[in-house]
Amino acid sequence: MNNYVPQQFVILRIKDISADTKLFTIKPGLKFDPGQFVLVGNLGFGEAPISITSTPGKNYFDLAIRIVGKVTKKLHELRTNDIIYIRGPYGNGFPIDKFKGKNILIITGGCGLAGLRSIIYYIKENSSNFGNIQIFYGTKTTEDILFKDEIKLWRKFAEVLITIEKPTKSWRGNTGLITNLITTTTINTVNSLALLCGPPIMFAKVSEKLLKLGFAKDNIYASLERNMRCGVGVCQHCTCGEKYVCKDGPVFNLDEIEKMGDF
Amino acid sequence: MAKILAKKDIGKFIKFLKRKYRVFAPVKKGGGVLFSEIDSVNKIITNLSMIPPIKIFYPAIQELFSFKKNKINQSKKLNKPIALLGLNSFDINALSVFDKIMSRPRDKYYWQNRNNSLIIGFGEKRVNLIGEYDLFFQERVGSFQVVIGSHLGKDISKNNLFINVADELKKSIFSPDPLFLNVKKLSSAIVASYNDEIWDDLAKICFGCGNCVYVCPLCYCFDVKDEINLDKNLSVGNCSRCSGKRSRYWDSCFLAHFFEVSGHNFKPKLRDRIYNWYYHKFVRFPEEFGTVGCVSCERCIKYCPAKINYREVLEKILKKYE
Repeated sequence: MNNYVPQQFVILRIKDISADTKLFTIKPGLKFDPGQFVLVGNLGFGEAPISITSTPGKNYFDLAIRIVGKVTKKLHELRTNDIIYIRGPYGNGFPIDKFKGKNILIITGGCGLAGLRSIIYYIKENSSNFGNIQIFYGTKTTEDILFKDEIKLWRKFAEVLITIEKPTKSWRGNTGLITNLITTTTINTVNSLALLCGPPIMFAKVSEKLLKLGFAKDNIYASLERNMRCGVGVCQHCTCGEKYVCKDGPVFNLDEIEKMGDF
Repeated sequence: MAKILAKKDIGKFIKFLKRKYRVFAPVKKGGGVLFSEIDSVNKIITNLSMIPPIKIFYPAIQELFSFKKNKINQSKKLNKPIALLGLNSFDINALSVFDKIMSRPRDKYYWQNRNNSLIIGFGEKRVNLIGEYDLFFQERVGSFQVVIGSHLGKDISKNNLFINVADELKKSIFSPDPLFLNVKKLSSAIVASYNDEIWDDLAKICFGCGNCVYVCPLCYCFDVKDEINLDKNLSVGNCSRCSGKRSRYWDSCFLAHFFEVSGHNFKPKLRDRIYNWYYHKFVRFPEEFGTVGCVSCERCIKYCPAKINYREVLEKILKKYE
């Protein structure tokens, strides 16, 4: 098998989910675990690592792609029925077996929600296996909120709190940074796990607050983002200490992250 | 009982090899020494090459595949296998480690040339030679004593140019690099030194040019880039009508972009990238491959424009954190 040659998939649907983010529904299905990612690209325009954002076991899968650079800009030019090139899935995914019977606290910012949508749906579909489910989501503006319609439905199985950093006057909800949502009254640290995905600064601030409130380091999980070229632990771009984010991660607990040393 | 090859016959031997192989050996090129394809014995010199011979199998630019109208074509295998002639002990040792790296996972592009290759070492002595080779030519007056290292080497040495003599085979010498006698200790010292000023001081003199990586026989980091052929039918979003290729390029972890994603650089400081190189070679490497990522060839010292000597750096760290 040659790892570097991508497979052809077909774009089934494309939906705008914010000003700079599109949701691509792609067929056929792919065997993967929540938290895994693919290297997605367009021949001639390179590849980018993107989390699979749908739940496993379907005859399609979803990728939410925000324009952040040249590769993603080109991907946004693709249309329904176009061919899209994919390698993977790669990475470890969430250690779901360890999550059973636990309260789950999902904390995410901006397009980080896309990285956790797969596990959110997995939890929804298997909700009897889990305790209390909470989803805390922070964005800069109301326009940046991804999956608005779906979030309404998530309220049926989870407590969803949203905070906006720079709200418009009409916004009636929480304001400020996501750390404001994390208080002794909003969260329960007993028998609970926190799952994080977002920019590095958010991860640092949120984990600091969770530790302060009594979360153990190995109960805080994060999906990390890094530069990736190969996806299989060779090219060296994603290294963090002894670990490769592409093959040992992208999901790590805080204990592991701290041991990576040069994180 | 041993075999010898008379020095006067080496030209004939190369001619014999050329029937089956593309023969690469160290030759003078552009003011330095490089492994290049040779036609005759005259050009061979045995000084340390600038670029290690391993990189014949792992070239600076490796096409991964070409594409045309949404059809991917994988690069074809080269017809003639490669013979590397004139490797020293460092490069033979490095080749064995590189084989391990390229097996996790198996790298098709490396092995398509490496698989049927012939490796012939050369030297006055066999010093610290632990890597695998097919033949080793040990110099003596007027001839080479031939050390057989593999079945392939044995087959090759059946050629009439190789003469049986009654000599004993000279023993190889083993005097390991004192820096790597206790790898665990070295690894822990490097981990402990993360916040040390030594890395800040190095960043003040290091140009961040990445030369040490390109000349290292055990550096292998890479980038992947696409090229599109200029073509009037070039379409906008998808590539259903265009053609081009995707290639793997040598990269260097000293360069500023190496740890960058769109919108964030995870190691913007040169001191952190320098530390990463040492961490990779002396912490992550032993963890992954059971050996340090260094064969003591000292090319990185020779070709560093800032005259940085990694041995001095390691000695300093060992002294401080032992």
